[in-house]
Amino acid sequence: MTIADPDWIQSVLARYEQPLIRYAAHITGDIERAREVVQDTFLKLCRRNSPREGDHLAPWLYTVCRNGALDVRRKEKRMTGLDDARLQQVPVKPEFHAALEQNEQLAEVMNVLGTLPANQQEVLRLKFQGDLSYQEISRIANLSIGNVGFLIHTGLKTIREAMQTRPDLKVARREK
Amino acid sequence: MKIDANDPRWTAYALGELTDEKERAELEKILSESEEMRHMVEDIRQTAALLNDGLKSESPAALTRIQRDRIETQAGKGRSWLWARPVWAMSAAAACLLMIVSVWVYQVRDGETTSTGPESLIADLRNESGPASEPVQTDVGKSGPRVEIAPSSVTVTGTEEGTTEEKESIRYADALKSVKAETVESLPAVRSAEIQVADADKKDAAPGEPAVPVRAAKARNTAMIVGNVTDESGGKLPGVTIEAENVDSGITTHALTNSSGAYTFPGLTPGEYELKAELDGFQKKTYTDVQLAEAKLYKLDIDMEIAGITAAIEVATSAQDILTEASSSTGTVLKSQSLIEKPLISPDAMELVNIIGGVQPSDSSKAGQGAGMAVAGGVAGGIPGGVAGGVPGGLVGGFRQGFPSVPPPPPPPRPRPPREEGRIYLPRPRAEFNTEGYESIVDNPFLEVTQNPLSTFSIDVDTASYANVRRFLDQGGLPPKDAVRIEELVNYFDYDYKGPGREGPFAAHFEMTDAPWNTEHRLLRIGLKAKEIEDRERPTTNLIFLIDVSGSMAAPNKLPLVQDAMHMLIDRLTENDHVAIVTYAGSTRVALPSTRGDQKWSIHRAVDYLRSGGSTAGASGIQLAYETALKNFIKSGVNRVILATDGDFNVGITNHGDLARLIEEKADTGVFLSALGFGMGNYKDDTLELLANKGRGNYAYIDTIEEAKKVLVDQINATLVGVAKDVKIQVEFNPARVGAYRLIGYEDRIMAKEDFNDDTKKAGVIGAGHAVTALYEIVPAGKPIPTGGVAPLKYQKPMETTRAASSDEVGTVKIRYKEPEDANYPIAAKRAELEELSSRYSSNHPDVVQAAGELEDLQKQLRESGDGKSKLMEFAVRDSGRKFEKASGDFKFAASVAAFGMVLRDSPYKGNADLEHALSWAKEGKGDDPHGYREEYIRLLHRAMSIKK
Repeated sequence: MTIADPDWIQSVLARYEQPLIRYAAHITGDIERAREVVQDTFLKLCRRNSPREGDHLAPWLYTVCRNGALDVRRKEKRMTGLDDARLQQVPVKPEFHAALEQNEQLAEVMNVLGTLPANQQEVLRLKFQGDLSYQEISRIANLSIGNVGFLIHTGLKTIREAMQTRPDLKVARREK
Repeated sequence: MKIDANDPRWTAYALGELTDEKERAELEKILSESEEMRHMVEDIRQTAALLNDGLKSESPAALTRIQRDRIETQAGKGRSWLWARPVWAMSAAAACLLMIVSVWVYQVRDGETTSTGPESLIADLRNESGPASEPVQTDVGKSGPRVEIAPSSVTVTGTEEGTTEEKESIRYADALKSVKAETVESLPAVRSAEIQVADADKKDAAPGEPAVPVRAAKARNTAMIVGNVTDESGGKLPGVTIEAENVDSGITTHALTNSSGAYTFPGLTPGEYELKAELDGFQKKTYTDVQLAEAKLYKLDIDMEIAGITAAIEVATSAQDILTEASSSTGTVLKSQSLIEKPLISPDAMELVNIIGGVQPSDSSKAGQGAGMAVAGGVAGGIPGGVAGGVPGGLVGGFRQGFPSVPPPPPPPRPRPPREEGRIYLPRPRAEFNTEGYESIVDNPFLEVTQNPLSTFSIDVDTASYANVRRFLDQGGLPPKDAVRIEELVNYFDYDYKGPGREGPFAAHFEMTDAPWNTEHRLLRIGLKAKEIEDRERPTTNLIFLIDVSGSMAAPNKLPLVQDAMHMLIDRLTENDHVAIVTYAGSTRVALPSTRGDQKWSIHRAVDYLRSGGSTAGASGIQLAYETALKNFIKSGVNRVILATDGDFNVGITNHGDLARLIEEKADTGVFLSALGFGMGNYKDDTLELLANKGRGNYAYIDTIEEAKKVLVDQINATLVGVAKDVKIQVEFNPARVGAYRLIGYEDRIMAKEDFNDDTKKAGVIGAGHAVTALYEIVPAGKPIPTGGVAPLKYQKPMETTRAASSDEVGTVKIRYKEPEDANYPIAAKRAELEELSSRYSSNHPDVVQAAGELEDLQKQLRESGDGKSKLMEFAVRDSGRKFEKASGDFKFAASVAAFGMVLRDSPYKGNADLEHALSWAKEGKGDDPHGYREEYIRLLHRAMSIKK
C-alpha cells in the first residue's frame, strides 16, 4: 500500500479541486455527482504507486476525472434512458452563473459556450479552465493534437463571431 | 505563402501553442504584413481571455467536508497532520496558534445560531506582549483556496486586550464548563503537567451570543493539545519533538516546539494517547494514559530535565546561533566559564551505563590503555583468532562501560557572543557530550611464526574510517584512537593493481620491501583487485534505501547530504535498477515503492520530499526495508538494503546482538546490507560497521558531497555488485624466513585458522573493481622480535619444517572465495512468496501450507549441501630483497597511509614512523591521482601536523 504525502495531496487539492469539479460537473451535469467523481479521483491519487507532478499530474488527474465522469454519465443514461442529444446539452445549473450576472459580457460568452457542440465545449474547458496545453488535452480527451487545435479554433471562432453580432458586448480592447 | 484566416494555426499561434519554429516564423511574417490578421489574432486572444475569466468565475464548487476528510485520511495514513498540513488548511484557530506564539487567551464564540450548524467562528486571540498583536482580520475563505467550514466565512481577530491574569489559561465558552473535572481527572499519569480548562468568562462573551464549544480545525470531532516546553530553569525549549501516539490506532502525530517553546497538536482523533517529548541532551518525557475527548482543547506544559553525567550545557543566544554552532563544532566540548555544570539526574542505572557506554575513550585515558594492554597480552599468549574486535560484548564492552573519559581535544575555540541578560538561553543540541561510539581496537601484535604460522582474516572493503578521520582533522582535532582503522584508511585509495582478466573474480598482487619505519623489518603488501564491470553489465538491481529521518538527521551534513548523494546516484541508474525508499523515525513508512531506475523524476521527487523529525526506531525500519526488498526480490540480481543514518537508533530494538542476527539472517536470504554513515556528534560507528559486516555489505562514512560521489557514483558498481563473497585470506609463513609477523589493521576481521576452510563461516564481499590491500610487517628469521615474544617452549621443540621451508619463499598466501551467485536465492524467493500468501490467506490455507513446506525442503537441502562451495587460490610469495626506495609508487603510498594510521593510533609498533615521513612517502608515491584523493590525503597530513604541533 502506498502512503501519499499528505502535504503534497493538500497542495494538489488546493490547485485542482475546483477546476476538476467544474469540469466533471460539465460532463455529468450534476454537481453532486461531480463531487463524487473528484473525490474518487483524489482517492486514486492517494493510492497511486508513483505520485506524479509537473507535466504529468494535470493530465493524469483530468484523465481519471474524465473517465469517472463519463462512467457516471453512461450509468445515468442507462438508468434514465436519456438520449445522446440531451446528454450533450447538459443544462448548466443556475448556481453556476451566479458570478456572471454582474458581467454581461462574460455571461454572454458563457451562454455561447453552452451552445457549442459538447466536444468543443470540453476542449475549451480543458484549455481555459484547466490551463492545459494542446498536447495535454490531446492525451486526456484521446484526440490528436491537430484535432484539439481545430476544436479550439472553431469554438473560439463561433464565440468570437457571436460576440461581434452583439455590438454592445463587442470585445473591447482590454488593457492588461 | 498564403495562410487562410480560418486556419486553426492562427488560434494556436494566438494561444502560444504553436511549437513549430518554422510555422511560427511564417505566421509572424504574415502578421507583420497584414493589419487585418493582426486584428484577428488580437480578437482571438481577447475572446480567449474572456472565456478564461468566464470559466474561472464559475461559482466555486468545493468538495464536501466528508469527502475531503476521506481524501485526507487516505493521504494521511502514517503521517502527521502537523507536518503535513499547510497553515491555510488548518482552521483559523489552529493557524493562529501556530502563527502567533505564546497566545494563551483563546476564546471562541458562535456568531450565529442557525439550524444548519454553526457556520461562523470568531476567535479572539489576545497576545499579551508579542509583536504579532496588531489586530488582524483574516477572511479565511479568501486566504486559502478552500473554506473549512463551508459555506460561510470565518473571522479571526487578534486584539491587544489581554491581561496578565488571563495568561496561562484557556477559556471555553459555557458549553465546555462541565468538561473541567473530567478532563483533569482523565490524566492521572501526567506528571508535572497542568491541564487547565478554564470556565467561560461571561464578561468576555459578547452579550446575547450563545457560546458553543471550540470549533478548531476539524474541531467537530477532534481534540487539540497546546503547551509550552521548558527546561528546569524555566527556559523555553525550541525544537523539542513531541509525539502523540493514539494507543488504539497506533497512529502517531508529531509536533515540534517553535522558537518560544510552544507546540500545538491541532486535530487529534479523540481517544487514549501516549505523549512523548524528546530533545537531545534531555531525558525523554513520557505521558501515558492521556485521554482526549471530542472537541476539547487541552493544555500540557512539559518541563524537561537535562540528561547525562555532569553534562556541560553550552548556551547560545538565539536559535540562529544554535544552528550555526551545532554544525560547526559538534563533536567537541568547549570548556569555558559560561558552561553550567549539571549533575546527573537519571536514576536509571541502565541509562547511566548507556550514557557512559556511548562516550568514547580518549587518547589520554590511562584506564583505557590498561584495559587495552590486558587484551593485547591475552592475544600475544597465542589466540590469533580472537583479538579485540571479536569480543564486542566482553572485554571491550566492559572497557567502554567502565572507563568514561573526555572526548578528543577541542578545536581552537570560536569567539562566542557574551551572554546577555534577558535573552533566552538555550541548551545547545548536541555539543555538550560526545556520544560517538567506537569499538575499542588493540593493534595486532607481532606473532612468532613458530607459535602461529597461520594468519587468517576476512577481507574488508570498508572505507568509513578514512572519511571519519578526515572529519575530525578538518574540525581541528585528532580523531579518537579507536576511530582509526588502518585497513580502512589504506583501502580508501585505489591502487593500480591489474585486474584478473578472465581467470577469476579477482587478481592478487604481492610486493615486498623493507618496512620504511623499521628497516630491520620487511613490509609485505597483498593486493587484490576485483574485476571491473561496466554499468550496462551490472545485473538487475533491487535497491532499498533505508533512510533515517529522525530529528537527529536534520543537520545539513546529514539528511540534506543523503538527499544530494541520492540525487547523484539516481542520475546513474538505468532501467535495470529498481529503487525503493523506506524511511524510519518514530514510525516507518515506504516513501517510494520499488520504482524503475529510468523513472528518475519520481525517485528525485521522493528524495526531495524526505523530511526529518521524531525519534529513531532503527530496527523496525530495517524490518520494513527487508520486507520491501523481499517483495521486489530479483533472482540472480543484486538485492541490497542501503542504510543511511547517523546510527543513533534510540528507540525500539537497539540491542546490537538482535539487530545483527536479523541482518545476518536476511543476508543469508540474499538481501545484503550496506551502511552509509552520516553526521557527527552521536555517530555510532561501531553499530554501523557491525551491521554492514553482518549484512555482508560495505560501510562508508559520508561527510561531504565529494565522498558521496566517490561511494555512490564513481564506485557504484563496487558498492552494488559483489563479484566474490566470503573472501578470506590465510597466509602461512615460512619459519625459515620469517621470525614473526604482524598484520597491520584488520583487527576486527581476524578469523580462527580453522575458519578458513570452513565454508559456513562468513567473510567479506568484494565488489566489482574493488581493490583490497593488506600489509604485513615481517620480522625476518633471526632478527629480534619487538614485543609479544614468549619464552622458549619447555616441552616441545619448534615445529619441524618441510623441504619447502628451505626454498626462498617467505610464505604462501591462500585466498578462498565463493561465487556471488547465492544458493539461497530460491529460498529467498520462496520466503517472499510465503509472506505474500500469508498476508492474503490464513495460515491453514492450502497455498500457504504448501509454500511453507516447500520452503522447509529448500532450507533442508541447503543445510545438507552447504552454502555453496568455496574456491581456493594459492600464491607463493618470495622476497627479492628490494629496498623501500625502489618500491612502486602505490606501495610507498600504502605504506604512508599505514604509517599515518599508526601515528594517529599512537601504535606501539609505529617504529620511527611520524607524519613527516608519511608525508614524504606519500609525495613519492602520489602518482597520477586522477580523482585527487591522494592530493587530499597529503593535505590531511599537513593538517594533522599542524594540529599535533
